[in-house]
Amino acid sequence: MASVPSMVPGRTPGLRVRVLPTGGARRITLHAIVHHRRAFLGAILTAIVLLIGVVGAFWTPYDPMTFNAGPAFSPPDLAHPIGTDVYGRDILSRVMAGAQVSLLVSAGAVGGSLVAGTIIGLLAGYLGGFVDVLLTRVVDIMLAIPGLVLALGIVTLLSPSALSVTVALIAVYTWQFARIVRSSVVAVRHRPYVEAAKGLGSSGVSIVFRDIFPSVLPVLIVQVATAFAWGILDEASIGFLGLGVQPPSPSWGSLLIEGRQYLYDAPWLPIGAGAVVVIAVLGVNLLGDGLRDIVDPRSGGTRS
Amino acid sequence: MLRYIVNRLLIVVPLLLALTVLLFLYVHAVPGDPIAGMLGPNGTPELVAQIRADRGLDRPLLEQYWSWLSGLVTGDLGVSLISGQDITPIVIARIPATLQLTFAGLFFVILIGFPAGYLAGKHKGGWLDRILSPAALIGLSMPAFWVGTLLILVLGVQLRWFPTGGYVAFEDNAWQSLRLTLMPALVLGITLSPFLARMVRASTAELAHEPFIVQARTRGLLPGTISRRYLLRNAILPVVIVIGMQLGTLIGGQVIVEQLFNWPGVARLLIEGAVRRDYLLVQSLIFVIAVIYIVINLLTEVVHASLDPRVRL
Repeated sequence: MASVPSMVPGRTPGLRVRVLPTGGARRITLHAIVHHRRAFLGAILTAIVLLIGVVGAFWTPYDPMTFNAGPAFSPPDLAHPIGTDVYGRDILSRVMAGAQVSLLVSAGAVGGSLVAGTIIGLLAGYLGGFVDVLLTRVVDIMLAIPGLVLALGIVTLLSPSALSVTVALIAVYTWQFARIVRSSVVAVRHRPYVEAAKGLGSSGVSIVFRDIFPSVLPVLIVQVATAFAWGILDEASIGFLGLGVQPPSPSWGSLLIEGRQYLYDAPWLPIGAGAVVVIAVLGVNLLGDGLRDIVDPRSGGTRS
Repeated sequence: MLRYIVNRLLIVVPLLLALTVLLFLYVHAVPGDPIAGMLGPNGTPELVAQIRADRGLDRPLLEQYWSWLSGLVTGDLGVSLISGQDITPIVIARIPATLQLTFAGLFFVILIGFPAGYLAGKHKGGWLDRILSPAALIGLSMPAFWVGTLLILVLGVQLRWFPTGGYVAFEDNAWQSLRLTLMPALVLGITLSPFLARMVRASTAELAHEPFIVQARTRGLLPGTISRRYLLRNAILPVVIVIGMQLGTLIGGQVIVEQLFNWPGVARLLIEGAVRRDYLLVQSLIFVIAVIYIVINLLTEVVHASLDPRVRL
């Protein structure tokens, strides 16, 4: 934020918006992803996790809500790969069924904050002046509250549910998107091709969406991946604290509270459910990291 | 330097003021009546009205805001919605435990993150880097509650080396206090050090191409001398920045860790307030946490500026 110094640095240390000589960042193509080791591995892991979410919505080995699918507290075996919980419910089935809730919450949070943040960032960056100062200040204030604390505050206002968690996370992530979009817009606003479009009589809306937005897009895609990883982690964290999706309905967050209650009787529940979260987040992080590398090769990945 | 600090302070004050407005509106954004919601079926209209008057929630909004704000300035955080007790002494009682854990956590973050990042960056692309960089990415993907659960199960339940949770004040029993601090602090160290390691790695690797390093090399200085005199010194810089940047994540991690290890700190108080829907407590705690966050950020910026004169320009 060039004109107005910002108080609080962003949450992602690796992601600083850099102005590339071409005006926009490198393009993200399927070819680039396949040929980038980390991006490819991340894309595969992410795809597997998404597949689990889709499959889990329609089919699970056992009914995730049915008691006594097996004996209670049965350790992992062939019939129940992650064991069973206190009611003899199959944990793998619950993890699969919970995947859709967690992934949808995360996707909703990213989608919502992407739209809101992009609008705020474009307005601030393109209009400049008073609007910019005002919006930048709002962004600074929101980023001055640690993310999880803000999310907890908002979840407290609403009733604990998947929708509340989504709303809370949108309120947390929006500002980071706004900041990134704004600085990208400021960086290209006075580029000759934007001035040319203005000179040719394009309307403001057209300039913003046809001339400025495409140059912001690659950076945004990277941020989407990063935020998606946060979303999965934060949904699980809020669930773990008992303020998210409530048991018995399964989500990765709600499974973790049950895991904490029966830590000593069924350690495979928190370990197994947590491991799935780790794999999902790792996949998205790898993908995001790889994409960042593709977009900006100088950002300092292991490949350069 | 003084001008720099004054400039930063001039930004912080309006920021804090705006934050109080936002948090004040927060409590009044509660859908429905928070007191009726809190009392549930037991809430007769008379009881609701009585509590409302008792907590000062029946006064005009501006007056309420003014009294909250003037309280904050003098260190009075108001009263709890549920118990009606003063919040300030409750929070103060929790601060030593929180600080003990924060500093112990930071100690592990630096102990793990700095050497790992420095060595990986110094030998970028080498075997150590090829182990440490993926390890950092995996560490970044592990939620604190998961790492904590694993540590509790292994170090606490299986090996019985450390107690699985709880808190003893340092001055009551120093040894037990340290034993209890170790696991939660280690969780913060493991989950937060990857950020630091990645930053230190990137900046150390970039240093290798700086003219002053190249010049030192052409002067024939031994690699060890170059490392000691130039690399290490410059690699310490990002540590300060990362501590400022990652503070929000540290606070988030602390919320999880205090809950997992039954640590009676400020973060746990926030969760207790959130679970019981004590909006006034949550409001004040968010303010306290944001103030701590902003102040430490300011401090790291000032330290950074004193270490690196370019920042002051």
